[in-house]
Amino acid sequence: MQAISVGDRVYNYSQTLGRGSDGGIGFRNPVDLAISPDGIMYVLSRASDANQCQRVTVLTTEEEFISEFSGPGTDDGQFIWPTSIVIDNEGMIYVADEWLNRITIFDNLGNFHSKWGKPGHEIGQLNGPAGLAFDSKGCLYVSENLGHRIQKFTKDGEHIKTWGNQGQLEGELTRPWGITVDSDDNIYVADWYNNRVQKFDSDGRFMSVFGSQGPGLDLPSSVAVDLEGDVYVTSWWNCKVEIFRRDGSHITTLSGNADKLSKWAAEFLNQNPDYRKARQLVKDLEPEWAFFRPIAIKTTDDGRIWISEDERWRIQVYQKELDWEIPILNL
Amino acid sequence: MTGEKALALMAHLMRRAGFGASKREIEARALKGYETTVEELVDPSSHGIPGLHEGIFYRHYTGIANPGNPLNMRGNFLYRMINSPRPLEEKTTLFWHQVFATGYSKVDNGNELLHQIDMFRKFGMGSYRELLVKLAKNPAMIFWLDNNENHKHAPNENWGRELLELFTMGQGHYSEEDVKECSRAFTGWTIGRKLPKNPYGRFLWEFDYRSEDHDEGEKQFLGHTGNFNGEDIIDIIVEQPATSRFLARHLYNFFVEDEVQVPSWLDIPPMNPEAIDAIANTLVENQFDVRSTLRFIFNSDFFKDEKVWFKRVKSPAELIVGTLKVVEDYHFPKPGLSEIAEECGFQGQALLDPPSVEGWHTGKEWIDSGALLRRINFVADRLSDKDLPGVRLMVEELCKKGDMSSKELLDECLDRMGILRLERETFDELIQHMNKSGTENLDKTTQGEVARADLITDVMRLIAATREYQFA
Repeated sequence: MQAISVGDRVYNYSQTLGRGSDGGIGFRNPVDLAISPDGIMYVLSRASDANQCQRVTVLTTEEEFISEFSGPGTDDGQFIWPTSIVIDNEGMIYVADEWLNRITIFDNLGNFHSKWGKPGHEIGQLNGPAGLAFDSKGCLYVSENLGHRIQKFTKDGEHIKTWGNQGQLEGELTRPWGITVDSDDNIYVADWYNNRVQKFDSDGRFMSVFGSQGPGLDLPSSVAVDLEGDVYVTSWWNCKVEIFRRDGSHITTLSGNADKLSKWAAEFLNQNPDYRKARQLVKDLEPEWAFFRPIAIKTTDDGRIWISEDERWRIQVYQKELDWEIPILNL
Repeated sequence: MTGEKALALMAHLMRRAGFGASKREIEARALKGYETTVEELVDPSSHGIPGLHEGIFYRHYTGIANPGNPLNMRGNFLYRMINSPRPLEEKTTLFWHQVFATGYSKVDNGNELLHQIDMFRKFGMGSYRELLVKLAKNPAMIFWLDNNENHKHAPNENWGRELLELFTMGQGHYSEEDVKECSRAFTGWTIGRKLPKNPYGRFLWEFDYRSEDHDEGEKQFLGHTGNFNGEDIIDIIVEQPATSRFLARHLYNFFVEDEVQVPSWLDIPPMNPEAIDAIANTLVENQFDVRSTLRFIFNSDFFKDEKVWFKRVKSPAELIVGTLKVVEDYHFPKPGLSEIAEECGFQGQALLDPPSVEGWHTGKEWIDSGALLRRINFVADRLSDKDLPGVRLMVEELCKKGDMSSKELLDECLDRMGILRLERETFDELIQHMNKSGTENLDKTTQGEVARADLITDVMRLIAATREYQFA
């Protein structure tokens, strides 16, 4: 097991989930994922323009396939360019689509429930919804790729608040993407084109910025915060994950450590001996470990960090050692 | 040169050094001047012109950077042709792709083929000699022409033969013995063991030089004797007069005027031997620097001469990209790019998958009855779609002009479609057709904006079927 140790933090590479597929077991360009409190994962495949296999794959965190739902199209419950998936406190699943400019709601079995959202630039309309996050009160925050703003709605789509406009100053945004809410209901936005993460309070007031310290962010796509307040950011373009303390200081960089095949990948290789043999001839498997366009990141209360890779069709998982203390040197 | 002539010449330049341009762009470039525009085209970096913002491209088109599906791979190339702020860079990339034709049908690795295209993009206007070395080390090319099967004790001549026949000198300038000796020099130039495409997608292949598999024996090649390795062979090839003339003819064929197909070059002399000589000399004088040679071509009298205007049949890629630029479609990512890529294939040019290493037969061979219909229909469909920004703008501008005669309307449409100039006969035929359809006086009896807008798009569709629109 590979471990990344820095100061008072240790991140152990834990496992990899997934493999490429246009349906059934596997993902195709998994742009986002959501994990329910009972350990059910919903992985959103955006697919490509030619591989029309947009869908949500449902699996356990131990990589047991459960089901899949949705598909490509414009009908109710279908997607064209899905971007984000979240679960509300009643277990309902919300998916944003930046082409159709709508939020689609499913029950936890994947049955279409409802949809809302009207395309447009006006307040309350949707202009390229890219990221979704719920706060503790059940309000839904939507970041907009084309609107360069954040909008706050009730879960039924009633508009509450809008902030942000295109720019580079504090509080301004350019093509924001991932968004998350911490335990104090502060909001973190991956300000994609500005290469930073901005933190706002629940009223949209600017609080601080992440990314100015450390190696920098390169088109960050997603952000997550763990229970200790550490902030995780997928630096999508340069294929890294950067980790910060709550004060913005940089902790470390993850580059990907997938030295263990996912269960589904191993199954594939067992069923396809030619592929298995071809791998055996490769001198160095290390290129396979690295992230390739890490696009979405989530944390769970058990200290795990889940990172989906758009171009590798898998999820790498790290386990943060909780309450870790540096051992004395002369052991 | 001023006014209308300067605009027409600029339009010619942009059709050849790019994929055509809107009237607005042509006017803006004409204001800067012809020579300045040539400089910006041949050396965009020095003029601070950025490349395409790949982040925005890949953010919206997931899966297109590392394509498993060939349509994504083709869409990747086409989108860059439509949107790159460096049109000549992209046009030169297409040029090299047509010369060093490498195909998905065998390589089966979109990622690696795009990597080769990117190599043409980055180095295609630099040194031809350096580009040949990079090509010889390019994994897609190595696999395409079996150099990974070219071993010290079992040579494979595929790469060696095509290097001489199709990529550098052309038939008639080397012997079978030269092919054998050339191939020996490239033994050991292979690809490293590679991760398979499943379960996690493609990984880039890597060039691997295996000295133990390289033939270290003495070789005799084109009158030279020595223990040559691959780069030595390329050095000898580049010194040959046949090479500069071969490349010159390729450049003339692609940028100036349609020539006969490459296999006939041995028997049929060039359309303009003086121009070929001048281009070949420029190549030699500039150590095969492609940028300097393109600068020379675009500033030459033979390029500016109206006799060569509209003397190249647009390839399907040029026709499709040029049309999408005119109607301003796909100027920002939107779904459906793979359908555009598919259309290019239907018209006879499945990008990154040429029919053979010889590439596509060009010129009039782009057009047969089926392809012509597809070409016209594709353009006509776009030009009649008033939801497309470029069409909407043209219609709005022309509607604002009020009543126009058929001739005035045709002139205006030709201008807005890239400052096209029709032959007199074609022009008169279109006017005749417009008048016959009752369009001459339609403006005076129009029932409103819709009828007027329909009339304008009808005229543009007529233009789409002309030789001048189908040619560059």
